[in-house]
Amino acid sequence: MTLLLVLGQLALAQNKPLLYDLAEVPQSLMLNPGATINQDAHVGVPLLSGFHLNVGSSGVTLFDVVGKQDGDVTQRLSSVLANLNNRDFFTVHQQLELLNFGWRSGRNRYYSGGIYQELDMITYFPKDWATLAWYGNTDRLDYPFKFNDITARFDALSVFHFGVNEKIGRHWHLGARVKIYNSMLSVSSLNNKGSFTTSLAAGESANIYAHKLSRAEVSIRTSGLSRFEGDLTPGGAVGTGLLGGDLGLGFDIGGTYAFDDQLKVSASLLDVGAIFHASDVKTYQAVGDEVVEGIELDFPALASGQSPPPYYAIFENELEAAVPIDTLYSAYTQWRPVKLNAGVSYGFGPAAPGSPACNCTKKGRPFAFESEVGLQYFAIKRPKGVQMAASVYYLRRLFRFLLVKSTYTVDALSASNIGLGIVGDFGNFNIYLAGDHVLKYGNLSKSNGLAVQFGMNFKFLNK
Amino acid sequence: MYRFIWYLLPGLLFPLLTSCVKDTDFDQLQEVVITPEVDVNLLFFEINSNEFVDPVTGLPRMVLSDVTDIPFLDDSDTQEGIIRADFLYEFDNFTSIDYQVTISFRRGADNVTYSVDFIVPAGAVANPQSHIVLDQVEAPQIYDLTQANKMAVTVDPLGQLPAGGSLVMRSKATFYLLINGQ
Repeated sequence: MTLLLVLGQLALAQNKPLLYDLAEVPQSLMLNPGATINQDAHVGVPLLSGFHLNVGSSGVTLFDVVGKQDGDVTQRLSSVLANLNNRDFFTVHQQLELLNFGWRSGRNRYYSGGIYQELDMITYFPKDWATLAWYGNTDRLDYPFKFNDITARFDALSVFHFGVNEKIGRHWHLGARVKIYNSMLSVSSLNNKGSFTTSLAAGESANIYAHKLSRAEVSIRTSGLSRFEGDLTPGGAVGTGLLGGDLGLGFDIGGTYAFDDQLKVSASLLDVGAIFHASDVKTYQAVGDEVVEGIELDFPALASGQSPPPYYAIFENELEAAVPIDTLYSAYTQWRPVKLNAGVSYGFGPAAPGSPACNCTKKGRPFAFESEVGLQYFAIKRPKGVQMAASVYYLRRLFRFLLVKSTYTVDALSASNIGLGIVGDFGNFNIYLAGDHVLKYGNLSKSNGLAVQFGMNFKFLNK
Repeated sequence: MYRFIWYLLPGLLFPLLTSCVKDTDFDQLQEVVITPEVDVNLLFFEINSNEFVDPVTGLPRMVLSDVTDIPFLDDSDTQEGIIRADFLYEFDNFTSIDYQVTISFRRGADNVTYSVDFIVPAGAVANPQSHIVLDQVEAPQIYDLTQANKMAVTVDPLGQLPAGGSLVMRSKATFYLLINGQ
């Protein structure tokens, strides 16, 4: 129970429990380069081999905000504001594979590669600032409104990857993949510090209040913004997507250990790497300490025709001098959100339809049970800490050409996330469709999340 | 045995393919009304008694006045959003005379949109007299007040000029806003 509560406070964003460890889908290699592989070669249908969309919000649903409900909508939004905290988040993650291919070399080595486009956005709920905007500061004297509540990151990039998977002995599959990141657009506001407090002066101000900016450090980093200013031509967009942006380097590693035909464990570490933002970089930064007292009048003796001092301009200048807003053009490095997958699976029942009814793994040939259960774990490094999810799954190979995998996942978005995936193999043609939160599909407005994945490939087996 | 699958699978796929958003009404966002209350410092000053004498000419200054821009009121959203404002003026009078103080809000140099005046009673250098003025401005005066883009203070010593001490003022405003979704 404690584990569930802990997981309930954390979350997923790029979790793909339905595809992880699913040897029938070539894209499972993208989740674990050391996964077991059934096919001897594969090529994805260009632009259609892998699409993933994940939209989520923790702590609130669309229905909570604009649902047809009795009562006053303002009161309802006040309740939403009260219930959300600064670790609640809104996320959008989307991937589209442009190319995906792989081939076996010798008996035990499998090479794979491809290109995919990714869009990833996470923004945490700025609780303090939403409260300030909603209620004002009158009833919140002495409360420090924290700039750290402003945390958001958006990345649009393309990824070129190439990996190798090696079967080692009877038990091991190990794999690694090199990735070249091409950032097209990146905007982030992270690690902000300081606070804004309104207090009675108590010696800190000559006026009634002391409006204090305490150790404020607020920044917005951008890279690639000007590429999207003006008229972006299709040619320009393609050029930016094909290594025309800021480059980065990373890797994935993973492995699978099969104790026997029934029991195996696996794990992978993805996107260990960074993007080096060097061109078209702009960072807007405000740093400083200041107590805002108001406007002090001097009552100068003015000669006829003289104007009083420009107090407000002086006030603004003093504020800008104390907390200057600078634009920096220096390069910066941004780590990719590293992800960890792990799983344990147990096969049982008769041999799967089409599978040799023997313990063939030891002979180096594929073997699968009709049914499989397992546990999966996912974690991702996010700006405000590690977000996690845990899944249990049941997989059934119904026919030679069809399997169904269902998952139950606990994460910050939901404790009732049922996922369903279907994989079909029609000759060499492979197709998969998977979705999370399927119980909510009847009315997505009541769901905290939506995740869908589908793709089409051609798989080839050596006769 | 697997015949039921042919019925089950479409049933499972159907939700994926027909998912929808319903039971929502985005129009109700236009009915959202938020009422933040914002406290801010306004003007402050300390006038020493010797400031009632012109340092250049040596002549007495019978009335002191000063004015500043307050462009934050000169904004259509602010003007429409403020439904009430409570102004608090705190005085410490270290001089031995009364003052008539006028606070006025102006649009441009001479167009007074709202003003308030009051007497600040005399005190003493060693025993200042504190005086607090709370001015609540609601409709319809608030509409006039929010047309202002300048705030002026006039300090008129009553009877004679101060011989010593100072007059201190601190001020703040509580703005009551009403912002709707329309």
